[in-house]
Amino acid sequence: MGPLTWLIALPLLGAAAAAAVGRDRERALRMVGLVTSVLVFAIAALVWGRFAPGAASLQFEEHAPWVPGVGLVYHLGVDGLSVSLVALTALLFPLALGAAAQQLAGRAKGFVITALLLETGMLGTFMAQDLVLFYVFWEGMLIPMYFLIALWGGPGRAPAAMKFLLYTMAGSALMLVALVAVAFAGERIAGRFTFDLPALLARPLGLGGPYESVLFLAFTAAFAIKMPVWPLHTWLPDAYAEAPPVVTMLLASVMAKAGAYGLLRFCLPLFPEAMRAFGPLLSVLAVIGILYGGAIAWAQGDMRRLLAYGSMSHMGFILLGIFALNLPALQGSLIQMINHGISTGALFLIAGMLIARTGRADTDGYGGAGAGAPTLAAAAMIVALSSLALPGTNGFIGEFLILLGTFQARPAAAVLAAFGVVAAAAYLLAFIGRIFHGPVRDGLASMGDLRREELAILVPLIAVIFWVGLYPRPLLARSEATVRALLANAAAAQTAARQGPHVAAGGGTSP
Amino acid sequence: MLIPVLAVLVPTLPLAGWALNGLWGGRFTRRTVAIVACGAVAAAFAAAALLLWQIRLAPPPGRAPAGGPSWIVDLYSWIGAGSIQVPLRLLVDPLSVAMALVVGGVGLLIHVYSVGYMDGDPGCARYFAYLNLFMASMFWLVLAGNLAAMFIGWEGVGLCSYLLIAFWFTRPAAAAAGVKAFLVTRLGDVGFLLGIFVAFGVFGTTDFGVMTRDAGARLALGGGAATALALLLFAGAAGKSAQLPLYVWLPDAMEGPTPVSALIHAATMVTAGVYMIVRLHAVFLRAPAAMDLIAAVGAVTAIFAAAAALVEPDLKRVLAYSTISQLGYMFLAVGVGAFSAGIFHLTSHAFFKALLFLAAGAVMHALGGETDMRRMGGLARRLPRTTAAFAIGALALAGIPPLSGFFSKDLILSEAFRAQAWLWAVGVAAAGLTAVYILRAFALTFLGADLRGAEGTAHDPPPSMAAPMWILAGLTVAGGGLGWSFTHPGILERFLLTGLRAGAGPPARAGGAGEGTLVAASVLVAVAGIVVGWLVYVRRSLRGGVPALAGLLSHRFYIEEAYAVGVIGPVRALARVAAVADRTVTDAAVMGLARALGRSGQALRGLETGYLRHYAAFVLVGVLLILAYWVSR
Amino acid sequence: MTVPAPYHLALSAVLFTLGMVGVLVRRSALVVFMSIEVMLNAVNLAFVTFARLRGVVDGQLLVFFVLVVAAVEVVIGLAIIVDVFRAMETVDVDDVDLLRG
Repeated sequence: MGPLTWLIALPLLGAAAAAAVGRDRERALRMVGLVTSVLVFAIAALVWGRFAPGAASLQFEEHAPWVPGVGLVYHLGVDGLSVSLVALTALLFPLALGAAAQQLAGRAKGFVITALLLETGMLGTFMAQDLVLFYVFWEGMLIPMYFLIALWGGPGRAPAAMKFLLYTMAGSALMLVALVAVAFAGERIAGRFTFDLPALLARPLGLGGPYESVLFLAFTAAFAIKMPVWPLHTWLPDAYAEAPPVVTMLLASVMAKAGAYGLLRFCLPLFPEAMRAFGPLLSVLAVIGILYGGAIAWAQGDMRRLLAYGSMSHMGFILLGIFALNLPALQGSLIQMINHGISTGALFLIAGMLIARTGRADTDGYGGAGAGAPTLAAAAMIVALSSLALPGTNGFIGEFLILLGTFQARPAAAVLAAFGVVAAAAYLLAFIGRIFHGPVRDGLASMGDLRREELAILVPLIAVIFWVGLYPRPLLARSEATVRALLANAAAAQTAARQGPHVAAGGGTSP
Repeated sequence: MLIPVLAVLVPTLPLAGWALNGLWGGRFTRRTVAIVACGAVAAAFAAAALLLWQIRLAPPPGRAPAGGPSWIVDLYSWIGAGSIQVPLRLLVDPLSVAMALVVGGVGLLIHVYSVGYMDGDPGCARYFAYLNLFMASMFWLVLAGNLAAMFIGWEGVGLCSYLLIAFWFTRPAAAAAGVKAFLVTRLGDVGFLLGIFVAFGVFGTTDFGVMTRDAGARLALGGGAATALALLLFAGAAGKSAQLPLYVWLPDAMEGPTPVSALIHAATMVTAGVYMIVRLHAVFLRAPAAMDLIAAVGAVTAIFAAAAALVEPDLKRVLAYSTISQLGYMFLAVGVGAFSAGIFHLTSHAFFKALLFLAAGAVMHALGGETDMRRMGGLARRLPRTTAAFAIGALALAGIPPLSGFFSKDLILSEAFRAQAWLWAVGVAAAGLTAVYILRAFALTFLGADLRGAEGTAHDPPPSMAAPMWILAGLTVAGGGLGWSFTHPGILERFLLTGLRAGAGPPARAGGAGEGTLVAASVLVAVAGIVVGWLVYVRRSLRGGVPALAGLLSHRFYIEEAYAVGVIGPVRALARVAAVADRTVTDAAVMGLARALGRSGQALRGLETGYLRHYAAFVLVGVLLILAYWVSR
Repeated sequence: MTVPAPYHLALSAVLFTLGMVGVLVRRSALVVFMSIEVMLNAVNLAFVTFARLRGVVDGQLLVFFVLVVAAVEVVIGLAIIVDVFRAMETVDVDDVDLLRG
């Protein structure tokens, strides 16, 4: 078994171990969860560290027959698109489990088991190279997430969880149909029925025309709901606000990325022509999402909803960069996925720490908290600055590259989106201002500053914020070759498609 | 080679001070905090001074861009994506070293002053940490070798400005003013950011050396690209340097501690826009239309802010409007191509405006934080030294020879006259207003009846605050020597000219009769302004004025009201509407779809009667239909 | 004397229709059940007829299957009817509408 299989198997084993522990032994259960996720992170860090930058192809590949009769293979691998996302996911889980120990009292057994199952689903989603295997993990992260919202959420958790489940299932169903259609198309070209993505991409599918558009839209629907893209976002404010902040962090930091990652992993190589054709439309949706989300965030009185809409606004930047279809923008989008995971995750963790202290989520109940909790205020400030893309923090690198690339491809979209940076400053400073500044509210002076365990959770995130902000090369270098190859293939496929379907279908003249 | 080491040390020393005081300041004694903060800045200033000595000594290296000696210090590659490469690069040339010296010198003095001023404030360590972070950012801004790297410092100083304005964050006004400053300058920074993108499109890089070298070849004179680039960058400069129409944040920024106002909102950060334009003068010279706009904005801002200062009752806000007005002069200078004159005025303004702010701070220190001039008066007897310091600064601001302000302002006015006479006329009128408003401030604060009566125990500040004031007063008096002499370009100009390309700076001045007349005119206007001010505010023999005009002035021509009604109100309303619409329209559409599905299920319920015979009949009908299909086929 | 095949088939169709009408209109579960048996036997008749007509035994073979299935069905069906009667004290199919939507 290679390291990638261990990444999937370890959380499952951890979940099994947790299932064997008695439900009243909370400390032991939390230890199982923490140790498992730390081990997973150690493996992921090893994979990330040993990943050879400069190579475009998959690394750490694992290949085994699964259901040969219908062309299913157990195929795992990481490349520039996924290696950093895997590391991010593995980094966030120990932090989330640690924070959950502090913020979610009781029912530790169920939480640890569900969270570890979720980790398997999330890591598998980023590593699967077989369409059906991907789908299995994709749905596999949905179910634990449903339970995490429905069982540990706030008062409105049941409808919020149901809405989230049905919304995402609707998209997934479309994707399921489309991925079977893709396998049939691959059989027509290659003469072999398989769901293995690299095998399908070995030669251009040459779909073209309305058929390609329909399949593209089916895939994109699933990914757009997950991100979410305006106007498919309405599950987000409910789910983000009702889920406990720790779960929201996983929802925003990892699950949203799965949508953006899917666009790059599947839509771009499989449907290059449709990516180009629908680029303007999706860029418009992205710009709307950026400004709309930013404006609504500013008008929210509940800090979780404020951060939820802000998260949606930031995801708009990632979408914009993906559909600019050039190297700087794609690189920016990839690094922004990491950044958004770090910054938004940290913001939700801080919101959770505040709610754990005071029991209230509306910002009106706060004021002057910086006086009683200066370290918490400083941490919140740094994270907010990273989220509003201050140069020197990670957020700037991503948004700079996205806007720069978009400016080359679609100047008008970039100009409009640039005002989203101002909107981000407006709602994040409002968040900071309403909670930490102003006259000190009753009881907040003795709120209590960050405890040692809380600091231990935030410090890694803040370290990543500055590391990526000041020296992003390791991240950028890991993805550049893959992105370059992806764009080159897409361009070649487009040229082939433009020369006529025969050339693309025949493929005999290509070297 | 010493230059790279020194160049790196200049910004990193204050950064180290920030890290020390920021992380462990709470455990340090007050004294340690002060020593760390002041020591870091003093060391940085020393490094900058050594840098000056080095570049006078060392021969320019071969890789210097056309136009003068410059040293490039590459740290590492920061952002890279294909052809987009942004190295973290420092550029050491006369311009950046001169700026670093001004920043370091004034910064050091204000750090020392702050030790006395902030004595007793519980947030002392936080204050000095922010102040050191500001110094690091500002040094980085002036030393950065490309636009993208400069943006780090550019936003960094904006952040520190926000943090320091909102330093007393439990005061709602301070917190709001900080946010306002950050947001308004960020609005301008959108222009800066887009300017970076245009520069990447045109030059493929934002390196200052390359942009300066290739500006002639890549940018058509007066072409669209040149004009767009210049205007976008100017938008950033106008935000940071508080020019019309983005000036609104600076008066509110006076909520911060007074040394902060002196350092950030008078001497250094707000001049970053001027510095950036001078740094990229080669680009700006390719866009004459943009240059005309810059000069016009500068001139109009100069007279507008001077008029607003005329009716302002708050001492610090008078100085803030004065800063806006003086920054207008600097933009007027760079807009007519007098780049070294702009830097000269930047330098002398840094001296005398910092002096005025520090004196105002001494007044506040003595009066327990009072800034409203209507509750001051007669302080000359209680604070004689502060009064003298303020008077020196005021005379320099008014443009009375032989103080530094006279030389630099006169240089700008004569350059403006050479370019366009109306700019000169506006500038001279603004100079007259300047003399009037600063005399008014002086009179209301220091002269007249002592409103505080016997209760006050006001006294001159302690030595740690007084010493920086006296040094600045000395610089104010002597600073004119940096830039002006009767026959040939001054020291500063000659020094800078080695960096500013030939033809970029003004030609050697003509001198002669025309020059003399201009000088006489501006001195005359300044004196007239002082006389008028004396008559109105001290002798109170000249009274009146137009009430309507006073109303207009005290509302600053209703610009802020226009913003509130025209921008903030609609945006806020739009956000509220969108927030509601997200529930009632977008979400309702989705929920409506769900309900429609539910209703169609309800409708189909009728088919399920539960009667066995109905099911059997359905089966029958189905069989018959299939049979009919087969038969008819 | 042999009766021609069409007569057999006509009888089969008549029996089937009778059974069908019985299933549709009668209310007693037992009668409905008997009607189903009639339909099954109508089909059996058709099978046998066609088998003889075409000279093959497939149809006659299928009749045995149908008979077996019918026997099994009677056992299960009657058991269900008895159970329904125990639970609801009726064998009127119109009174048993638990599937109503």
